[in-house]
Amino acid sequence: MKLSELLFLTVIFILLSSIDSQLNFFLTGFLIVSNITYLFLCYLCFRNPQKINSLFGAYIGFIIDLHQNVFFGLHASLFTLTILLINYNYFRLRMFSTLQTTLVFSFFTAFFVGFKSILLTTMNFQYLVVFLSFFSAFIAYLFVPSLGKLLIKRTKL
Amino acid sequence: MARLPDKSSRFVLIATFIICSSFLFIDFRFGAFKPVQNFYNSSSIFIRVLSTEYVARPLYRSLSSIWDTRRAMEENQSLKEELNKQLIENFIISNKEILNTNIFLEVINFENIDLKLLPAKVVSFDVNQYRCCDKHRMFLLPEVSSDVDSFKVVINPEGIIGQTIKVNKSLFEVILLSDKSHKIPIQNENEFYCEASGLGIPKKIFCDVDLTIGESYFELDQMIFSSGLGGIFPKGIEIGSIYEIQDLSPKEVRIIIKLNADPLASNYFGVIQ
Repeated sequence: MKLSELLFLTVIFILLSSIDSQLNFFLTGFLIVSNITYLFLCYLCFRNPQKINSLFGAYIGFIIDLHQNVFFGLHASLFTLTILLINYNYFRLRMFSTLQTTLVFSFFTAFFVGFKSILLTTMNFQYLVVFLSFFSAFIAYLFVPSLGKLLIKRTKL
Repeated sequence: MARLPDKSSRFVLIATFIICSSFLFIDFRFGAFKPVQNFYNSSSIFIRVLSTEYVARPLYRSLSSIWDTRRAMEENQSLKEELNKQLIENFIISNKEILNTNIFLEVINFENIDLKLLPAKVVSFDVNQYRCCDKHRMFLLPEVSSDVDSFKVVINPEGIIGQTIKVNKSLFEVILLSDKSHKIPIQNENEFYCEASGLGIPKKIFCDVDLTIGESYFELDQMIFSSGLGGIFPKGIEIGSIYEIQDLSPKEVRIIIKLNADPLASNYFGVIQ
């Protein structure tokens, strides 16, 4: 990956992380968590696993950890784990229909939200948040590929 | 074994994950990366303040002067700040005997170096994290150049908000009473003492009471005060009231206390030096 592409993606991920934070501000009351950043990473990794590798996931994860002021390595671990899972099941996922792929990524998101909640909201963990995040991710992923194509239009990703 | 689409080996994939997980464990268990996060936070706040003060605000002022609103807005802002100062002073007057008899006399003169009460403004407060998660922190910038040490009490017009954690010379972090890792010794009028911890929910703290130790008298909506034990918080300040009493076991109950002071009520705070 070129340095310009790396910088471009870093800015995009920070922007998406900020958008997630802003959306979560309104969605917290409805027990829904916005995960556009995570779904965008899943989309990119599935689209181009050669460039979006585990090192890139770790790099973006650490940046988001600093940006969101959460435990250092939280996003990095979950992003690398996701990339690892997508890489290991890449050819299986390729044979899936769009609906099946969306379901798989929604499951990943539910796990991501659950793991994050355990560490960040230990005393107020709610299963309903994890459950609803599956559906919110399912709906969000319907728009993520279009958003992704729009954002990385001029790159070679 | 599954075939990988990437040319990089399985070793790189797994090794990266293990390294990241180790980082997470070390930070979670020992807080080893706190200085890195502090550095990032203070740098980003510094850049934000600098860009706001020297780029955005002058630009905004020059634009707003075209419509002649600048003066009105500044006046509004200064009146708001003055009102906040007055509200903090009122809070101190009402608790003067408890806090310190000399505080009010020295509050008026902010230029005085030997301030008992240091005015400070919010520079960063992640409201989203405050509402969703256990970590309830905010960053404040003192209005006058002065060193703010850790473990100083922070108040707003409604009461005690939390205590300070020193980040660097011109910036400090405030750990709110509702933060999961914060503890405050409390009491009620019936000589019931307890060490309350933050619940991780806005304006809520809790206290687990072992009923086998002795007789404790408490009921719903009962006023809760700071007990002054521990030497950080002054004694007798009204903290909040009992919101809920949960039975944990036949021998243990959890008292949930709703705090009086809302950190979102104002952007202006006072640090009791």
